[in-house]
Amino acid sequence: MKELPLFPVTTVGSWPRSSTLLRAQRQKQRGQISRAEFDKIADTEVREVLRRQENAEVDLVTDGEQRRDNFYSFVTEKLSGVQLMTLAEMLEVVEDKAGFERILETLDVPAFAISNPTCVGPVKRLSPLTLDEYLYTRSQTDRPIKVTLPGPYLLTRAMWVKEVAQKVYPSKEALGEDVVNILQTEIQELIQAGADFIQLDEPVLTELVFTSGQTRTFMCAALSARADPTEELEFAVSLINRVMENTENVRTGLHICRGNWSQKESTLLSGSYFPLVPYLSRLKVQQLVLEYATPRAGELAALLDSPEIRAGKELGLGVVNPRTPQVEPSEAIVERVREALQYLPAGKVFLNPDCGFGTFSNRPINSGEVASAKLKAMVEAATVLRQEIAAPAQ
Amino acid sequence: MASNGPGTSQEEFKWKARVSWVTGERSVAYSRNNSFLIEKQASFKEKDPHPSAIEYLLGALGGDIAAGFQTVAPRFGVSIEALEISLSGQLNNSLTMLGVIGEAGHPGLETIEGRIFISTEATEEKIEKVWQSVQDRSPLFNTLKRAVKLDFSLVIVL
Ligand SMILES: [Zn+2]
Repeated sequence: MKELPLFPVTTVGSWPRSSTLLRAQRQKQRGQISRAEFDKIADTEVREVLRRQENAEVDLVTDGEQRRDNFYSFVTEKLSGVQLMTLAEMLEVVEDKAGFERILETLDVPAFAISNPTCVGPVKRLSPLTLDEYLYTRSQTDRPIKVTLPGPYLLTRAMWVKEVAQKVYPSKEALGEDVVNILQTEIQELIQAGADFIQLDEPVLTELVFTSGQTRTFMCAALSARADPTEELEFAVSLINRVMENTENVRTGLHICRGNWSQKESTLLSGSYFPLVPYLSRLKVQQLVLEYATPRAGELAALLDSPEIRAGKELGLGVVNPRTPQVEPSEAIVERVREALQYLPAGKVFLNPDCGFGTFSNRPINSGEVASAKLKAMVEAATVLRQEIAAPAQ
Repeated sequence: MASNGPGTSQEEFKWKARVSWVTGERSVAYSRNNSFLIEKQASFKEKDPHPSAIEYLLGALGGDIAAGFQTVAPRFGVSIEALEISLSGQLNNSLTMLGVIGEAGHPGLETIEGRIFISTEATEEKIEKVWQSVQDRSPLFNTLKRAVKLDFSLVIVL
């Protein structure tokens, strides 16, 4: 693991894709270009994303998830027993068609544009999910690298479309076993290869606590029947903790947010992390990478009043909103970090945006220019904070 | 009876449907070799065994437009990879449909809103031209636009 300075600046993973890359992605999906041809184009894009992060002096970089269509369904082509089904196809098999229509309307998307990695056979790893991405990134930068992986709960929930999956697995739990094994193998290989930070993405956890009685907008979760949130959260904790076994030699994190598909804040979920605290405090991850740049995420105290969280976790503090065109002033970012420092020592706070800048490749929420400016604002704030620690004001 | 078969000249062609009441608020429509069930005029319930008349109207308009794109697009050299239309409409005053006394307004649709999602390599400008031509040639669009405000927008999805 490479050394990180105080207040390391990083991203949550994704970066907006160029039109060249999007075109290549569609050509690959349609079989017009090969995986190798696509990777060649993506290599160039990854280098560009790295260069932008290096120029902004980001401390912990990612490859911008440039090779992925989004943060979780990209695993489909690397696994057997999983098939990407568009919602248009799913509409035929799921019972609650009216519920689906409400979701599509809220998201303002066509069913053909959303695909879900659906379990259609025994799930096995055909090739590494992210190791290749990491190795390429390692060859192109000297900076510490963060690798993002879809979490085991997210993958299990998404793949478990009961109408289809129960022909293969007796239960969601049985499918979860195979998902855990796949992620364990992947993570061990990443550690061997020297990854500096492994982040699991589990956005669906907020869906469990914030949507009772509301239209569900996490497509990956909406497919499976609504279950008891307490049971589901326990299930999520057990899956994540098993995936995180034997990860002492790497920094680990868990990212949880309220959705990142729209610039319309009103369509995204809202509520503090408070209901999740009893579960988050038991997770065997070092860092929680959380949203705090939007008022929808509630106050820091809702999380940090918990002694277990303060004692056991680092905080990846969301200080810029990836969806807005305005760049946050670095003074405001410094203020926000100072607030966190009332609860946590300086060594435990990372600075990051609330989420990726391009969670879904075909639904960009910001431009590369704005994203770069936001990175620079975070770096400016980190510089001020480091100076304050080195030479405290009289 | 005039046949709909070959030899009928296009000028005198007449489209037909025969609708029989079945039970309750359900009826069945027969047209040519097809039939479909219609449940109620409009329904406020979450679930019904069959679509209501108003849903057939929205569906018919969407089907007309979708088919129109398929016939018009090739003439502009445009290929469409995927197409989906979401339609919605609100009655001017639904209470008048329910017969509530003293309610002003009428039970007709005020506006039909539509979102046409298209996945294509073509430019937005070209797709707009296709859409204009689809509107010009569409039987249902031209019928309805004389009676109700049609508010449609195009969304290109990559
Ligand atoms: Zn997120």
